[in-house]
Amino acid sequence: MPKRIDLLQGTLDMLILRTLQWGAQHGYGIGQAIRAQSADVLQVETGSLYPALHRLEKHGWVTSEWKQTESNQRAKYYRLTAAGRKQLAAEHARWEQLVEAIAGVMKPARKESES
Amino acid sequence: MNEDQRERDLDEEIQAHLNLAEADGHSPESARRDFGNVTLIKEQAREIWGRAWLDNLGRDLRYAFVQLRRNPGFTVATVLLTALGIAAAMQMFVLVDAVLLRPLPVRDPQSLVQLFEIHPVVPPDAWFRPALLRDIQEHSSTMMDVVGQTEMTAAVDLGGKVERIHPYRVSDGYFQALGVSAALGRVLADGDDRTAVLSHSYWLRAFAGDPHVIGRTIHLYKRPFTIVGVAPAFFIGTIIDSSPEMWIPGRSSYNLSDIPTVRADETYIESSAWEIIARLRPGVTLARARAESALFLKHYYEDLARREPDANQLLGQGRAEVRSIAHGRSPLRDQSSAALWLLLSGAGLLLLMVCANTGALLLARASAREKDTAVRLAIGARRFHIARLWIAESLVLTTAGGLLGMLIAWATTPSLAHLVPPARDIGFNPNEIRVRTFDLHPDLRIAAFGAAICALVAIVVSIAPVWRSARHDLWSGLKIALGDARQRRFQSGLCALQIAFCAVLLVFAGLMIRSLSRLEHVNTGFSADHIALFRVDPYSARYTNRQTIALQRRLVAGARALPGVDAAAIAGTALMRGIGVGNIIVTPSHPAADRLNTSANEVTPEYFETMGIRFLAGHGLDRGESPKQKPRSAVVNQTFARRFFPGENPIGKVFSTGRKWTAPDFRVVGIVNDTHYRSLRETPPPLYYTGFAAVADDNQDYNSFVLHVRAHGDPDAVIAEVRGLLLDIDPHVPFYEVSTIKEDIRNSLWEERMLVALATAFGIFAVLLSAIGLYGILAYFVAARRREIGLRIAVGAMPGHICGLLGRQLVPAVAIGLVVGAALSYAAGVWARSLLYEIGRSDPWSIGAALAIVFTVVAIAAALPTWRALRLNPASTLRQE
Repeated sequence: MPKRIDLLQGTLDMLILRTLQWGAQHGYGIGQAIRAQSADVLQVETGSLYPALHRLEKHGWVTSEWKQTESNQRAKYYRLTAAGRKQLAAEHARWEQLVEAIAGVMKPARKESES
Repeated sequence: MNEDQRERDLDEEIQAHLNLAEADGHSPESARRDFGNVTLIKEQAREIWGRAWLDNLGRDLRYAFVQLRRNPGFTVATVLLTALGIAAAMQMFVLVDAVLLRPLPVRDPQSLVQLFEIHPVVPPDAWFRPALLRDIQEHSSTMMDVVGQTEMTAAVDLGGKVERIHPYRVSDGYFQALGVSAALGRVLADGDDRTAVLSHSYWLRAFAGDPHVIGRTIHLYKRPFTIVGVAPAFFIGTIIDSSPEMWIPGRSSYNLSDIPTVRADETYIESSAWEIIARLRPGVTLARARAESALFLKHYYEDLARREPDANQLLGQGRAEVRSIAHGRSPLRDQSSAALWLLLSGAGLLLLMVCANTGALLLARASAREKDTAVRLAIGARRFHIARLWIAESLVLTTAGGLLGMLIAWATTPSLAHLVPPARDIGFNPNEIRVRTFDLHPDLRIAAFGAAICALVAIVVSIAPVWRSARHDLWSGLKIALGDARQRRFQSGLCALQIAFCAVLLVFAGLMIRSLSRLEHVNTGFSADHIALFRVDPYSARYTNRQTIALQRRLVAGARALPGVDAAAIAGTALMRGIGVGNIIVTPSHPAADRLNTSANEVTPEYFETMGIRFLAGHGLDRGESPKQKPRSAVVNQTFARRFFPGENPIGKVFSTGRKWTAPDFRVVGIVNDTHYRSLRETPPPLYYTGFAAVADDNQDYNSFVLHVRAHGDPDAVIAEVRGLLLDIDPHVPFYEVSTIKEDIRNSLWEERMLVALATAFGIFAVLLSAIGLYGILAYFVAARRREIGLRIAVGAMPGHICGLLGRQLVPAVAIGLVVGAALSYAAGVWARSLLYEIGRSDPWSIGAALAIVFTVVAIAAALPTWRALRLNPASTLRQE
């Protein structure tokens, strides 16, 4: 099993929104999806997931409704709203900026040590 | 979605999650385990949806209530102390507010100013002639709404009942300039003559608040005036110490002074004196108004010197001063603003002590509940939650204390007026005793102040326990608590400081009590027990001097004939009222003097017998002397005889009033024992007595006089009879300031009595507080060291050992506090020396008693925790490990 990494503060919101981009999903499903997409590296604690979902709903970035799952169980499905889409785009942009910035810092160091 | 639905929804969502996990192949147990802390998630979700703080607050408050109910002693003590502290602070604030802070209740008080003339030696002069008022009204570029006012005394006839009142004569536009409109009827209008606007309090007092009073006629100086309106209750003029009974138009003075010797002509009006009140024009500074007024004043005096070359030399020597009267004027404020601020700071200090000690008690409880806290932290409570519990507890305590305190303040504050002496020195005549009209009823502002200090107390009280819980980590609570040395040092320091403070207060209280008792037993030189006093004012009933003398004879004879009366006499000045008549006298051997060197009193011959003053030589005043006769008879006291006729027999010697010897005015016919004159504190001054005939018949300024009646028994019992006698003789002569000498003496000691009351109350309160603080420290210590003490007892420590262990916590703080307190009170005694009477600041009784009280209270406070420590069951404390 690959080593797990703790999620950066604020990243969870982005991952949840990203997961919901492909359609409505319930909490359990979202956790599973993030885990699967990250090849088991990212494991979302339920203790963080549910408060995060409620926070997103409070902000109006997701809405929720009770539906039947494929296995005929009742579950609360979360769906991305228009505002949520915008928020995802914004967070994604910020994320890329951050990655680039961190990469910029890390790269020259390697070059120096190589030369 | 409402709260309950959201809660159910979350429950279902969590259940759904578990179901899905099971369907995914997890066992129920592992699904539950993987899910984590359900309660925490619910809590966080609640917090997200925003009701959490309210929920938590409610729960914390409920918990606080439960905790406090479990400790009724602690709760009641803390609530009571907080209540007393807050009530004291509020009362002092009400006083400070009424005397110092409240702006005049008129339109735009900030722009109101008054003109004064400042002299190098005499007090500021506020009275100017109408010429200056007119000049400023017509020509000022810095001031507008310029109006004049002047106080007068008058006898008002309300249909059979004559009363002496102080109406204000005001210039046209007075009410309009101040922006005050009538509560009933109308205010004075330009051109009004012989109309009157009643003050609200006088309307209630004299007319029982009758709304049909408008249009009624009253008589001032036997002249009819029509009541046109009633002023609103909040408006009592520009002097806040006392309210005038009514305002009348300034030109009414034409009608008021036609006593035979004075013609109310143009000259009379022009020489009357007025206070000048104005508003600064927008954007004008006080300095500019002052500069302009200086020019007006210069012009005014030049004009005066031209018209009256022999006018008073002092005139024109002062400089003009324009002062803001945004807060009104107040003789009491001038005398006592420093004392009032001191009182408020004292109350503030006490309140801080309340906070500190309540905080210490809460801390003691916090440490007693250390295990509870540690368990809470272990199961996932956040530090903030623990802090919130303490905040809730201190909130409950301070809210209860605050409400109770505000109730106490609300109920008791109006009676504070009794602490303040009757007003004097308000108008022209410092002799007059006036009724105080300070509004001491708490209002919304006071309530707001109370709420603010309650909030402050709640915050300060929670600081200690919250700070502690913030630093609290999981482990130290579960390990043996060693106590925090630094924190304890801080507490001990605080305690020492408090004990020092108590000691200072109690020593001061002791010194004042001893001084007061010495003062009360001063040999006054007269017998004060049975004498009732009545001031009579024939002048405002337009009596001539000849008529006045006749009135005096009839009064004395009439009073003597009343049942229960032993003697009666009349004097110009009543004793022990803080005021007197001073004079300059010269004798053939001391032919020149330039300052007041003696006191004087005008009396009828029966005065000495009535007052119980003994003759040491000679005889009493001659009866029926003519005013023209010279020299007239005089009686002097021992000090006078010693001062002016040392080594001689004073009988038959002559003296004269004035700066230079010319001819004898008086011949000494008798010597009486010394008496205190103005107050108990002063050493008896040289004093001479003359008959009333000294006042020539053409002197217009005939003053009121005081009828002295000596009762056989209780002087209060003859007051009604004498009142009836005065009414029988002439119902138009006002009599007022009815009292007994005993009462006057008591009033003359108001300052001492107030200081005794305040110092004692503050002192006892402070001692109680420090006792509670000490109790808190010891209880905290015992709680923190339960295990250690238990262990010591288990291995055989004697009770003496345990007491020593606890004593080491206490003795240094108490000892340092007492020593510092004794030293401080000795040092502060220099400042208090002027208040002490025949008592040194190192009076051993006062210091000893104060230290004994503090020591006893401390010992009692220490006893309870010590007893608890000794009773500790070693087995049970050790089992707790």
